Amino acid sequence: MTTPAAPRTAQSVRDLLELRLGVPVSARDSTPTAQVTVGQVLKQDAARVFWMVINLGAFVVFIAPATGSGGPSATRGIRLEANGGTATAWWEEDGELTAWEWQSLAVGGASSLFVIEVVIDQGARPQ
Amino acid sequence: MRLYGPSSTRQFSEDRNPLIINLCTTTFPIGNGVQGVVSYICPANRRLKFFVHIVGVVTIALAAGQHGEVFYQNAGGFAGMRLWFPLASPLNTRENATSGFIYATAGGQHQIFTNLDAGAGQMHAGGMISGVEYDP
Repeated sequence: MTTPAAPRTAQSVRDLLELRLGVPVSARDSTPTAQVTVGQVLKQDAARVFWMVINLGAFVVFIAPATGSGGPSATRGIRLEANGGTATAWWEEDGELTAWEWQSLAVGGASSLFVIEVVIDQGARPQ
Repeated sequence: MRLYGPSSTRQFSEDRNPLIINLCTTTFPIGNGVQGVVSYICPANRRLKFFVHIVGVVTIALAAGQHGEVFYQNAGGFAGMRLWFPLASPLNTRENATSGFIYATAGGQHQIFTNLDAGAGQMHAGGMISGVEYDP
């Protein structure tokens, strides 16, 4: 059994996050494009604690977790409106949905996405 | 899960391929009946959010049997606003009116007319259709 770390003074936002979450985290971003055929927008990552997907393009995009019940469609998924529709997931609110693989589908034409993820920093994770 | 940003496909009109429309004309209507001043037809797959301003002034006193009008007619052919210059209106009789916001849908024609009876009097009249045309 490990002994809890002694309280310390945070020097940065990263420190605050680590104190709050208990593990260090880091962020990464990507700019995938949602196509009119189903494609991956977030890979499965058990270390991901948060993500945000912003639809910057001119077409509506549906996103849905890649489960056995099918990919995203107009009748299955979360609708991200064109020109700024955004969805976020946070592990404390959304549980393992945050870590699942998510797929996207654009309706009417390809649409640019901006994706931000926050993941547990495996390299700095306390042993 | 939290969702942000545009809450539906019906965003602000200014975000949807906007085009400023300013149609403004004044004229000295010929004293023999209805005369078109401004005409706007909303194109296919477009809408217009606009207002109408109409104005008129008597520049030569209207004759005893002569009256004048300036009016806006909407897509249904209904005169939505009308300025009325009675028989024998004296020199410098003036009227103006401004509408609230009006919406035009594709194919709808919106017009401003003058109507001056034949006679010795004369008016200076006109109007403006001004707004933002956008994709529905």
